[in-house]
Amino acid sequence: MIQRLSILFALGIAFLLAHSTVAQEQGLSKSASNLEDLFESAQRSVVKLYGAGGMRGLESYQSGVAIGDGNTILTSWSTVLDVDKVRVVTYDGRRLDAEVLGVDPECELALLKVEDSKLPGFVLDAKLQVRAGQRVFSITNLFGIAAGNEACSYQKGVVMAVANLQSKFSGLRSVYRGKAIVVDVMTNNPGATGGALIDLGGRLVGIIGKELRDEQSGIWINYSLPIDVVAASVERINSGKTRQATAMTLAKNPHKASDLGLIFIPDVIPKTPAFVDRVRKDSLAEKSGIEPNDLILIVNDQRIDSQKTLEQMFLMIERGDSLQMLIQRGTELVRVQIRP
Amino acid sequence: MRKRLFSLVFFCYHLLTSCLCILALASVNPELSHAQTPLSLEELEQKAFEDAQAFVQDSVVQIETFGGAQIVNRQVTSSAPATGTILTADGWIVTSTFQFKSQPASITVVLSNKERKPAKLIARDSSRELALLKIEVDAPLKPVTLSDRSLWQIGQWTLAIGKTFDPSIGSCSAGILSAQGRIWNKAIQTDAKISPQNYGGPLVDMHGRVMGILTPINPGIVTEGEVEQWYDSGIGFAIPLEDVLERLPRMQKGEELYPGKVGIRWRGGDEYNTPVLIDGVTPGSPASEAGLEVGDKILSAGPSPDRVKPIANHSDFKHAMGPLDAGGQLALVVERKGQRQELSCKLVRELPTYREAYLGILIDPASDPKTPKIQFVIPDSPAAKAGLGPNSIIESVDGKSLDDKHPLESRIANLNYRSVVEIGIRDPSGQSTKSKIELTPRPEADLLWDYKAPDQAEKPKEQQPQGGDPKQALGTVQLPISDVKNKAFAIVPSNYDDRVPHGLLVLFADAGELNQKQWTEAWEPFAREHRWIIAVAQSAQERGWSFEEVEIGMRMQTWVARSYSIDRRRIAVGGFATGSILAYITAVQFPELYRGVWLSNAKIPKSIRINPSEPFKAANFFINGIDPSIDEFAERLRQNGYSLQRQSGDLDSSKLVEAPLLAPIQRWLRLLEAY
Repeated sequence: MIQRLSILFALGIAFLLAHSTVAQEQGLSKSASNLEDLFESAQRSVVKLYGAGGMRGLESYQSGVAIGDGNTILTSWSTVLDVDKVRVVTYDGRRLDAEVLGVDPECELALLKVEDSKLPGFVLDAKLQVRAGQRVFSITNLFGIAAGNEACSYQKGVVMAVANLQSKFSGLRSVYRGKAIVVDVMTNNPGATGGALIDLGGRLVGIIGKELRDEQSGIWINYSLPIDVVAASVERINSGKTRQATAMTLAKNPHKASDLGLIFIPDVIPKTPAFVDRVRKDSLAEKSGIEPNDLILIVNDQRIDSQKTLEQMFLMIERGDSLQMLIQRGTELVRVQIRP
Repeated sequence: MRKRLFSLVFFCYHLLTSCLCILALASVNPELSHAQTPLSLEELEQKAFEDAQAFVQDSVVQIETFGGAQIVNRQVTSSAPATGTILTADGWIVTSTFQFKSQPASITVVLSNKERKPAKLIARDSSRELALLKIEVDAPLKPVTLSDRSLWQIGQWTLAIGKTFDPSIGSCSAGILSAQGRIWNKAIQTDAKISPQNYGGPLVDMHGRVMGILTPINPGIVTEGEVEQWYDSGIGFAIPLEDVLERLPRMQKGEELYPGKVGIRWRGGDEYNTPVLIDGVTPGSPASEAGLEVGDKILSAGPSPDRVKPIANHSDFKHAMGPLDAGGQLALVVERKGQRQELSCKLVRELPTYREAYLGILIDPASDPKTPKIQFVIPDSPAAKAGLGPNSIIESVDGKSLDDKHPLESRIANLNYRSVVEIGIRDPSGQSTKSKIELTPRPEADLLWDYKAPDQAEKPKEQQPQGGDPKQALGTVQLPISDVKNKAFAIVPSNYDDRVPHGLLVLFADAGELNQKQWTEAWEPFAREHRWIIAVAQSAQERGWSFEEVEIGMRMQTWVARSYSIDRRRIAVGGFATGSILAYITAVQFPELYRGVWLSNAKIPKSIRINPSEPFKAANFFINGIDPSIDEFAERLRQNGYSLQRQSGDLDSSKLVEAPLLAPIQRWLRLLEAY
């Protein structure tokens, strides 16, 4: 009895084994082809763009992505687009002519129009957020390595940080200064700008930015514009509401250290700290509680690393506006508000 | 039964995997244009990265600096925020020295809750490019958790965490552990992106536990500030946290840490295949104080007698020394005359300045190195004061006999210039005596005596060539330096004799200037009388020398030394005006080769580096010229232990023969070989 049962059981097992092996094989091949499928299907939406340039270190090529119905190409706004017709080469080697629909100078993005592209377009999902540590892939035509129907290149990386380019790097000469996805892989190579940054689900999470180097530290910053920024920019371009890039606006009637009653130690070295030497009697500074020997560290959330930065900072603030200061007094940090 | 149980387990396993497959398929979101089945391995990795990052990020802080010099060593220093790592709940934070090169007026720490705290720089570790900060805290901070070093595997995932982007969310770069025991055993290596964006932050394992602190250390650091050449190169370093914690109590007391120095030298050879046989002990150094001797073989070394590791070769010893700090111990086991000896040295930050000890004697070059014969005693020298005279034979130095391995040169080189040495002498009558000589450094003004004195006795007439047919070319010889534009020639004296070793002076002429006839007229008499060969090189371009042309001097030296008989103790390099920098660089590159360095009409850039003098690397300088840069340079040379003759006045190379400076220069050359 036991014998027979065990035979039955063994048969049952054998059946199940055979079945599940098949299932497992399917699973394996499925997941292997998934990566391939994911790459294959995503790269169909990435195009190679050719236009003006080709001299003095300016490339005449870059990358772009098809969005929506596939007849709109999203790319970086650059000198490459300074031609009547931008040449678009699709994943299957077709050559299309594109016209510039509009640009967003602030985000350095541009939209191109192509006819009957038959390209699958990425969905711009502004709700997709990426986090530090998340895996991402870039799909770009870096260095113009691919031509015709050759596939664009993939690079894998990890999101280093999502941060504002403006405030963190004093040595950056970037037009775009807003929120950016910084990755730990060299994505921002010649020709890569305008390419796609995708997540593990093959979803577009960012558009590769331009080559960017912090001139002070010499570090290359590999950044992409996050999808929410991209979506908003596309909407602005489509509605014709793009703004010109505005770096920092000077105040019409700015603050001045001397008017506030602040007298600093002599500014003799390139980065003389903003040490208060004296405070004029009955001045706004004195009323606000600033004392001699105070070191001004921060004004309105901007780090003041020297008297020169402070001077520039004052130029941005209208005389009538109040300002917040963080001050080091001995070993204490003190908050001070100056209300005119 | 066991079989059945096995089958059952197997069954369950497959059931589970099938279910997982189905689940995975079911989780696909059909709405997304490119959505596919998520890749489980990548997703798991991604989850692990995020979890590890989240675990450690409250223990990582942003560091801001305010004010301070902007340019250090001709490099613009960063004023961007940096990263620090919390070691203790009461506010001890370790970071890299990178952002403090400019000596900021103020340092603040921004915690992950964005609270800003003033910080004090308590101490630095110059050996590892780390700095220790202290902040006052209201509530306990979350210190990092130590990763267990014994579990590390090369190739495992690591994350480099920084806080330069945002004080509340750590930045994250993934890579693997590439190697351990790097930079002479001080650092671990990773291929995550390491740069000022995360220097001072932690390198963590997949549990978020800290393996090390990221620093700009690299093997090529020569001067402070030269640190940033390895960004984005697939190579970055971290100091193991364990090593940081071990030094924490010392640094908390404000103690600055420096690499420890011991003061021994060993003979060259394959670094990975040659045992450490001590060839020299710097006088007054920890090694000398611990009683290490020339000839000792190092068998094992470590920070304490119970932590010594076997030393098979030079590299092993460098790895043992690498992590040791000044003030710390070096425990050694050495083999001396077949006996094992245990010693312990207290390491120092700077070795005492080495100066070559000076006796004031010239040795007959023809005498046997085991029994060197005094040819001449320089008047008023330490040897003269002790009553030494010519034609005596030196038998011993401080009781140690002379042989091929330990000739007079190496016995003298290892003496302390401030000590009294006992020289064993056999005088011409055959009587052996011992003389105590009070040593001094080589005096600056020993050129006053009449150098002709020893030479009358020196060269018997029979040593002159008998007018035969010498193999070598004599007179003005063009040097065959191919594939370069430079012209070079040598003045070989007409009385050249292969049996007598000659001195060699390699000269870099002023750029664009070379009057062969002038030079020959000026130097031939000296060359003949004192048996020297003078080799002169001309610059390739008329406008100036380029640094690559330093190589020309080396090629001239090699060619002459191969073709003629050269005395190793009488090789000097010199340069005129623009050529003087090349002469100096040549001497720095081959300090063991050149006993003399002559810089004429020189202008010396302030930034030029001077290596401290060492035994066998203690060239004598002769510097003449009127440029104000020379005096400062000369003073730095003195401080670094070099002896030098300083003469004011430029040498007019168009009237070389009558130049009054020529005589002192030639006397100085004549005395190079003096002990």
